[in-house]
Amino acid sequence: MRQRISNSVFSLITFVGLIIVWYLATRVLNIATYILPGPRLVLKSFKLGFVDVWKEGDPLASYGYYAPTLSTLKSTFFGFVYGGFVGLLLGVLLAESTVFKRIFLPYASAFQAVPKIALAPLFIIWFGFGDFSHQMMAATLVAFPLLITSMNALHVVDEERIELARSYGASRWTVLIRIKVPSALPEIFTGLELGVIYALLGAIAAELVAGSDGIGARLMSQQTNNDIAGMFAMLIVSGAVGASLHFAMRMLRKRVVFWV
Amino acid sequence: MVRKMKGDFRNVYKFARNRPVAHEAQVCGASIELDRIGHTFVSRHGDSVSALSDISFRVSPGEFVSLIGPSGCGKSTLLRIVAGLISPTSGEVRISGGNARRTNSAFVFQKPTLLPWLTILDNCLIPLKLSRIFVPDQKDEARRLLTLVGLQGFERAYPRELSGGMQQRAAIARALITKPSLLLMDEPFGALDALTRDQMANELQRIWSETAATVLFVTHSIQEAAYLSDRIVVMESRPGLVCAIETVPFQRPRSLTVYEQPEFGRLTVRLREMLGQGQVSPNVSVQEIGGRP
Repeated sequence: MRQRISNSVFSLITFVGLIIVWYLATRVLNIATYILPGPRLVLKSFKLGFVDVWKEGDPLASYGYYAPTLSTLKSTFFGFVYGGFVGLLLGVLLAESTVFKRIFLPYASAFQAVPKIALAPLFIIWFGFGDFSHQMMAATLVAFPLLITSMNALHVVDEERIELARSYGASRWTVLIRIKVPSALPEIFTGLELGVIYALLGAIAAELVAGSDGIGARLMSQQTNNDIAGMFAMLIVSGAVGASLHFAMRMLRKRVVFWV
Repeated sequence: MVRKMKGDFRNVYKFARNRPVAHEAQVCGASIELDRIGHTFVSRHGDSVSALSDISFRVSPGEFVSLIGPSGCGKSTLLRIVAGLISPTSGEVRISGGNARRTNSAFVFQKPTLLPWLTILDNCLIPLKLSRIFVPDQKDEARRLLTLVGLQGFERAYPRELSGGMQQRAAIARALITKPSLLLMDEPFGALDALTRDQMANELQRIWSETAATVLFVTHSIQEAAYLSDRIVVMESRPGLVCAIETVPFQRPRSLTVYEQPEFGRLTVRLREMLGQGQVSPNVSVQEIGGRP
């Protein structure tokens, strides 16, 4: 307990220290605000984006920070769901069917080597400038790590558990649902934890390239408008979103995979 | 009923689905007849290795038979062949029994192999779900079996909350839920410490006497085999074959005092010599063959 308190106190001290160093650096070294804005400017930007929009009675105003954050969250969520579904389904199929695996695994591995963010321009041609292409980018990034982790996890299920089921004449489907998938769940959740971060990455990357909406699009417009403090605020927001998503996934993991 | 291989095994259960275990009358043991069983597998280098050759013996209904032999002599393979998990490359397994219409076997592994996401009670019921013959009132039967193996009060616990010995008891209760006429046990106490092992052997004798099932029991321990069995099949390795079948004369129920009888000592010495004379590979230690000194 004592260790814990001193840990959080320590974190707080280093955090405050870091802000002070940041402040002093911009002041003493006289760094231009269009290169590194001081903490006060960034804070002001936060106030503008998160507090002032409430005061003006329209929290979802396009110049506020709620709208792009929600838009990115939405793309991340749908991308995660689509990509998660496809990744899991393919992982199971590849693990269960040798034929399927022999046909598709080489292509999957080759595709895995493609830096998928480079697909963003192509996705814009296919899916347009809207949210859907952001979702597809996110989904693509989620699907592959999940495919690989779930396939591997299904391959290393304890042979005796499978023999146990088979000794009772269980069908292949029963073995899959009652033995293999639950056994693989801890590793699958590792894939999901990675996946949720990848989904955010994919959504923001797609927005950067072709966003009408979202954190990535906002960053690009801030760049155009020389709103560097705003960019810092947006980056901090995206970091907070990523950390919260990861935390939520870990909580879910603890509840679902309670036996590990 | 005669069954040869895995394919037939499935049919047994298709039939079983229409006849829930719960409503069956008194179960009696199955009889096993192994007819010149041989098993060869292809090694990684492409050579074919003979794991078992020309194994023939019979097990009568309700009999407790142990298989002992050095590591790698194919005991476990033979057990898996009887279970229908592996098809032999030659020979035939004939199992008849129990209720004459079908065979109902249960397998106990060296590891408890409990499913960590299920409670002990649900773990006991899982065979019924795996073979799709779940009947609601089996929960009471599962509780009865858990009491039989000394795990009353642990129904709602999860496997990781139990010690190794308790987990193995749960695995035995799980094996009994389908009222098997044949229990196949693959070194079930191999992972336990010596004290728990003696205790479990004693418990197994009691449980077996209450179920009347036929038991085929693979072990490394000569003393365990001598204590529990009606007959002991001694195997030797490469290729695995039967070198002797010993009958164990002691009256049942046996207590741990059997260990002190001179005849018990003579029997274990004889078995140890037999295992020594067999083509034991040099890297197998006496400890491994003989269990506790």
